[in-house]
Amino acid sequence: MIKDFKLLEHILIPVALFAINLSTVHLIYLSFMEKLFSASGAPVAICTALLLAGIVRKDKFLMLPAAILYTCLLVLSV
Amino acid sequence: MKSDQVVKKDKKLLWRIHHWAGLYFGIVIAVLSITGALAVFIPEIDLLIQKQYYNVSSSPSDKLNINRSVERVKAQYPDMSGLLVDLPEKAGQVAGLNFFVKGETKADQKRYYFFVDAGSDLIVGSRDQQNSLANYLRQIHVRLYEGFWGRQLVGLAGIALLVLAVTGLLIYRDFMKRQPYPKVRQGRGLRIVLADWHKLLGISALAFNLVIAITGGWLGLQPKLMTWFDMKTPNNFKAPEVVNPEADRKTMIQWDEVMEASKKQFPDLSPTAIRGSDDGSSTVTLVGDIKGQVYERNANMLVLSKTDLKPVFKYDIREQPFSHKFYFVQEALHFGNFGGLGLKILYTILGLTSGFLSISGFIVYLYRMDKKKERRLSPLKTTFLYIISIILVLVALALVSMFIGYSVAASASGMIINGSLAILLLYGIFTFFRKKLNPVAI
Repeated sequence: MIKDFKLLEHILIPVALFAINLSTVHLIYLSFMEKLFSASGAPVAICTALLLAGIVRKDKFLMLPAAILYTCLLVLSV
Repeated sequence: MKSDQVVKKDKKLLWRIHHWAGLYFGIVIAVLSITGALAVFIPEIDLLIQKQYYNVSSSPSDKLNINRSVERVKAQYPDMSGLLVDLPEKAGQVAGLNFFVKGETKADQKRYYFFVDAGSDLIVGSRDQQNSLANYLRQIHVRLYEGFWGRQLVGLAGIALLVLAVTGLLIYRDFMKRQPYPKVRQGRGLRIVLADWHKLLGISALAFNLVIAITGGWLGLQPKLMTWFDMKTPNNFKAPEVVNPEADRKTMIQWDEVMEASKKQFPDLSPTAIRGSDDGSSTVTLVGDIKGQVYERNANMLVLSKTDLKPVFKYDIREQPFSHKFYFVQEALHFGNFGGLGLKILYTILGLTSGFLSISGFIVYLYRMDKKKERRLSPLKTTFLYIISIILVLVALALVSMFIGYSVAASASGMIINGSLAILLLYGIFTFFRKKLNPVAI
């Protein structure tokens, strides 16, 4: 139980917050470029939504895959 | 494996680094946070002021009808040099003619800025660019309005913010042992509430603050670092001299034809400024941006020959090596000018978190010190007085800069910065010797 709490509160939430900082900026940029509903924009939007849901619901099964997926998207877009 | 005692010692060291970096650089970080929140909107603020004064609805954005105005200015200032035409971004905005007239010494050199209606080709006004609000906002954020130490302090504050963010992350776990995110403990006093908000906002805006810290540290220390490490600025193209500089200066430029030629030679370029040569290279240089690219303003360049408008040099950032892209991405990431107004608003909100972290950290520090020594003013009152004093100084500098002059404001800022650094140094030396001579009393 304590291990779960530590994993969630001390690792996964900071990681998800880190990723959502970047994905929100990315999302606004894509929206400004009118690419939000394109093949490159939709995955970023989905990841941001999943990260937000994961943080609010404190769900590790949402946060971890969303953070990993977003990191991949960011690396590919650079 | 490290023993518990070693781990504890490491954590204590991290906390001490966090504590001292915050205490010494918190005030600079807070000033930069407030000024930075305004600095992201410099173009918008400047345009708003210009629109207030100059109604130029006839000014189109795709045509540049300024030939007559430029010739009139050339006739009025025959010794003018370095003419730069700032282009209107949208219809209804003015173009700007920016140049200087050399004096006997560099101090005598005088800058001029005229606004031109690019539709009717009429000069509609002028201003002293150095004393403008836009220049104040930029200079106070970039160098705290001071020539030498200001910029270095800004760079060091960027590094301090990086240290604070990294150490803050490393000690976050210890301060959130059984506390779930984003719980703020109520009913245990202001110190606990502020400490909790400090942790929550710190971790919530960590990635943003890291980006701001790294790019800010680099931008602040860039001139010194580039000199020390013998780094060259990317795109330092200089066209060779082909005619007499005097003849070059007198050559008339058809500005509208230059715009047409740039559309053909570099279609994706949105030019923001054009410079006519006066060094004998007989060229016209256009600088500007490519929509959707996350690079600093005016990173792209097209140099045309004045005589036949054929391309002499083209610098398209998309075709440059990684090192050039990396160099030009810093300012864009720092000021967030690549995602429209929405991104600037987000930058302002997240940017203000570093200011809040400085203030909340300082109040928590004062509460902790209060336990050791009773003070006349409460931590909240002390912090309030500091904040009001800083805001008053910033406003006073802005007013002096706009209504008296840049140089007076810069001298005043220099006195404040150099005076503060001298006091800090003397205080450090005094405390050191006091500790050495009378260790029990401390």
